[in-house]
Amino acid sequence: MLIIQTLIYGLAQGSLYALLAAGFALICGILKMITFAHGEVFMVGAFVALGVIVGLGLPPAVGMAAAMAAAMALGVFIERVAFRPFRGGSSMSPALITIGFSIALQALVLLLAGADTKPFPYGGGEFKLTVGSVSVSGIELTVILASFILVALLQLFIRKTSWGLALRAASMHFDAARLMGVNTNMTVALAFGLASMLAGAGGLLFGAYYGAFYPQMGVVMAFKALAAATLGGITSVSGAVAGGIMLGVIESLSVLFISSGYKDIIAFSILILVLLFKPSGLLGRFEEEKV
Amino acid sequence: MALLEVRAVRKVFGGIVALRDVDMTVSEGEIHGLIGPNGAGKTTLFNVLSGNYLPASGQILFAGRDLAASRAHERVKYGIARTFQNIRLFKSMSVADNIKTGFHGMTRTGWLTAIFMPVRAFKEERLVTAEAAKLLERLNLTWAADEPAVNLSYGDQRRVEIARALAARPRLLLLDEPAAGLNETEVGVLEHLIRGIRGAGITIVLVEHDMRLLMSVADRVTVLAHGQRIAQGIPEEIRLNTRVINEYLGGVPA
Repeated sequence: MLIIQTLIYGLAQGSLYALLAAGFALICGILKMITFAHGEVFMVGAFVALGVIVGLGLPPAVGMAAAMAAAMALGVFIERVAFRPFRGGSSMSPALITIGFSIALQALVLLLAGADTKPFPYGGGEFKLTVGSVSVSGIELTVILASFILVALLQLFIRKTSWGLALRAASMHFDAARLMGVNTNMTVALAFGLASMLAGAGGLLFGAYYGAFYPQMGVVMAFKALAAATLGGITSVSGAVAGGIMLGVIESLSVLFISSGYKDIIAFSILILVLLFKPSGLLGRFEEEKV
Repeated sequence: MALLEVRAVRKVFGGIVALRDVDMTVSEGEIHGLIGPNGAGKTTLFNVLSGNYLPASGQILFAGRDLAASRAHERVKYGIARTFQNIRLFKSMSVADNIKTGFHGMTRTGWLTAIFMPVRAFKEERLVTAEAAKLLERLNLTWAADEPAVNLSYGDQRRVEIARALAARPRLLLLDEPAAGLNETEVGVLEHLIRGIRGAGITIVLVEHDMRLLMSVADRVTVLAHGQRIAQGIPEEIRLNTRVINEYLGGVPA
């Protein structure tokens, strides 16, 4: 039963990766560029939620909505400042500006909230779903279910709305979409908005899961999620989500069978192997550009 | 009445002048042919008209509106739609979805509304789906609605591209070599389609190397060579114009 318990841990951790990885896929899909401030959007979302829940005493659901709204605003702002002015130009400038955002946002939260790690007021330890020797805590269940629902809603939006179609079209053929009447600036902003909403929600879920909110909480998460997105296939949202879940599960299995000290080494060795043999990721595919 | 007026448009790439103060007037309701040897600047002119390139100087008036400051997607909203010389469909998307992208400029829901009031977005999406289905039916492409665009024959892909452009309800349609790569039967279907589109009141500018097709459908023709307009007139005049024969028609009157 230990293995099932381990898989559940992996699934919870993997869902957190998936929320960030889906965002990387959305942004990279349309711009073919990467943001280095995604972990800080995640972190800012977490702190806004904490402020709403602890500071204002409002319920966690309101905190979640606030995290998503704040993260979306921040993500759209970052796109406006770091990406839009350089459209069609070098991808170096946006990369550097987002690194700047990453450092500055960590410093800002450090100044405003202090360096100490803040706990989450709801323990989540009261509720436990136990089947045989396997038990799932309330917070694990919340993380897994909330991530699942958010990713499902994202997919619904992408598949079933006209803006979702614009997003798919612009990701496939940016210029053709523009010349067919798609407002591509708005579409890029939408990609950042959606990606950041997921990141903000992920930040709160992470903080609640580990009972820890701190200014650097997004750094390692974002890098691992980027790796996970690449593992699954960064050109597709579903590939990136699958990559996130896989990375979480691989990590937890290596903790079980080898040792927790090796989990990052194993996870990233697998990533390197996948990239060597299938550069587009496990589920991704590269489209040919010219007819 | 002139629907489109191109006045002294100049486009420079590095040191090369691709368009040298080109003038062109397109009247409402006509099919206007645009011909010239390869590299004459026909596609460049299309790119300037559709907002893909900004001209170095000159003016473009569309239905009395100066387009200098408007961006590509806005021009689609004003009524200029186009197709591409190299087919640029969203290949792995279904034919129906490809056509739905053409409607995007018409939809009124912003993305914030779509996220926070999804019901409204879904409603509009249903409307767009119905419109796309109508368009597919008119072009006899209903059978292909759910096929990935890339699976269609070349000729059908061209028609999907035209349908996608028509989805934007244009007043002016720019067709860039729609007959390229088509067999004789397909060209026949295309000719019928072009006449039908004009019959629906849509003005067309047609770039085409198939002289039989172009001369038979065009009301007037503009000829470009080396980025300059060397002639403009009705097909009969163009066919007999010695400069056009020397530069393009190659001494064999079509």
